Amino acid sequence: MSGISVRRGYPMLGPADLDAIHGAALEGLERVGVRIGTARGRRLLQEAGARIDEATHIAKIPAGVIEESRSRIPSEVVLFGRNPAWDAHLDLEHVHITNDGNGPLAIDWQTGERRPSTSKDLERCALVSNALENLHVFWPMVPCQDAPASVRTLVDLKTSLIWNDKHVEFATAVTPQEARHLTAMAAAVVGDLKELRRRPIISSVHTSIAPLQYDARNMDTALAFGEAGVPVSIFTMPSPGVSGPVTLAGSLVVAAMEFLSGLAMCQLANPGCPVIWGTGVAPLDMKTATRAGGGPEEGMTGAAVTELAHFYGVPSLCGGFVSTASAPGTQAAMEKFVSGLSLVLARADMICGIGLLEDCRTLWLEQLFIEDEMISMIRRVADGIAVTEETLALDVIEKVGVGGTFLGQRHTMNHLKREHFLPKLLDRRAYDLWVADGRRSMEDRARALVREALEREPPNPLDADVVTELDRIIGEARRLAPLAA
Amino acid sequence: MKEYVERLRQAVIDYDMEGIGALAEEALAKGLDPLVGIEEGLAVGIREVGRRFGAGELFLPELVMAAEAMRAGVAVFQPRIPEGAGRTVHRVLLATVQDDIHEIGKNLVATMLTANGYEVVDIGVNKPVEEILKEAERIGAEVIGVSALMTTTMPRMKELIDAAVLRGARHGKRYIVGGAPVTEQYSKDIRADGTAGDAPGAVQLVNRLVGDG
Repeated sequence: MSGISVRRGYPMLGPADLDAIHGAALEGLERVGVRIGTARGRRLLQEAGARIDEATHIAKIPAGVIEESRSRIPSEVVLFGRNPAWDAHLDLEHVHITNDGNGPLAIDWQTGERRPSTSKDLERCALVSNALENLHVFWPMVPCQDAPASVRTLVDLKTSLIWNDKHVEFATAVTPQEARHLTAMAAAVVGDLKELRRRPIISSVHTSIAPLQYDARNMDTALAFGEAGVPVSIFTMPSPGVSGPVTLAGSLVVAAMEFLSGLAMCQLANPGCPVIWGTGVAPLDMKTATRAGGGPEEGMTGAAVTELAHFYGVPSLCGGFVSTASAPGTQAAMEKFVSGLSLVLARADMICGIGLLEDCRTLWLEQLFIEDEMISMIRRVADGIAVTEETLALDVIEKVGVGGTFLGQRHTMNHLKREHFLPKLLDRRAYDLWVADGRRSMEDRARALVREALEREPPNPLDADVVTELDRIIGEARRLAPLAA
Repeated sequence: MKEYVERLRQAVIDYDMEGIGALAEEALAKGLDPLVGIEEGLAVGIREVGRRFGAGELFLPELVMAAEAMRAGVAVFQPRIPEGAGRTVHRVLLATVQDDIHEIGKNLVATMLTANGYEVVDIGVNKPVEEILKEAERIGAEVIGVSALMTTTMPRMKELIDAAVLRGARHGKRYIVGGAPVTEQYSKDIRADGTAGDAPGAVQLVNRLVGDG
């Protein structure tokens, strides 16, 4: 399965801009460096030629180390699905959509109450996600907060695997031990660790800390995943004006320095391991002091990161379809559309963000369908205008002639579904019909689709013995947890 | 014969515009009653297509192609119907009012009414009241539909209905109005027989006024 294709991309940066940002990042790594919390990471970098200050843990990394690690990048990253029909080939051409992840709050589907998320919410996310037209990779959108904190990430994965059959990406693994347990769970599903290396059905997101820092455990966890062949996303998110320069170009330099140093550690530890550049570069709103994830900048910087990532030969994972709105409506639509459009036209390999509001905080199931429709519209823009003899249709123009109608031509129906966006949720009926139908809003219509989706069965159920094995691993992890909750 | 009736029905549903003429000829050669061919074959097929379109299962071009198929079938059967055995066809006259040359909406209504089995005579744009009433009389229209896109030309609709009342042409005929500025209230104010917000709505309206629905 391939993602969304883009006929003609819309570059955010020119070739000279790319060179300038790349050049500044290399110079910055050498002059300023990055604080590397992990002893293993410092050792790897030092052996490769970086200068380490043992007091501050700052590694100053020469360009040669980065070039060496770039030469180890695999030719293609594939996010394999539990169902092979969902294999997502991140070929630097197609755009893939994944849910937003880790929202701590959910709007209760039955009561409308805003409350901490539970495993039931995650099940519902999966059921609704299964019904979407434009979702390629599943990201557990909310954590199962009814599970003990010590094994919550494992329960999130188990729930995701049971209720959905796409690739599962997550971002909450923070210890190498967790990485090993999660890897064991995925191996239990595909057969064994060898098969998981061949077809990794999970991937993990690890953030750097802007500006220019890596936490020890988080990077060690990424390296543990890399050992098993599980793809990792190094997620860089300097906030322009706060943890990065206020200028977008300056924050892109910080993001590039963080990504390149992370890439180097990954490739030095596990040569050829699949690495993705994750990005969520959004400014802080300087009046409300909230992250402005829904502004135009996050899509723009994601587009720029995608171009840089492709220049390095790695795929991108971009925060997009983000909104700071507190409820569905006009603001959510505006914010989500602007970043989504920039990112799709930039050929972002993966875009995460659909389904949550309040800047990736709160789950609204209706948003999944609303944003699915939004993506279908953007997909139409990305597909562009095909100009061929068949689409120019001069023979049809001649056949219909002056003053005639093209409605009854076979040419019309043959091309309609490709040429025209066909809405599922937009209501284009006349006013009177809308009134007669109860003046239903977009959200009302989406709610009806959610209701239908929740009644469906999850696809490709896991074997009972696999579920038993997942429970066994979770039980073991719980016993090993230092602070069993 | 039953088999031909079924095949004709299906040919309309499948919008076999190219093949339906030959099928109709073949059916006649085998002795099918042309009136049965139209009423039990083609007309049943087009009603089914109309139903599917109304249910959101079909696209407008499919409806129009099905209507084209029906037209091609009728063109074969109609001349072979014996004198006096004619079928009932509801005739609708459509026009855009004087000083207004907008016709996209009116044309869509014409297309959809035709696709739903009505015989539509569309006399075009910029038509004075007198001409509309004269033509309606001449062709024996049961429904007269007029369209206006501009608020400045909308009063022509009232003129039409007032003129029809004056000359006694109001009785026995239905007058419907449409176009972007026309509302349900305006239609009532000028004592028209109804309006609709879109072309499918216009079909429902005409069905209610004179048709089988």
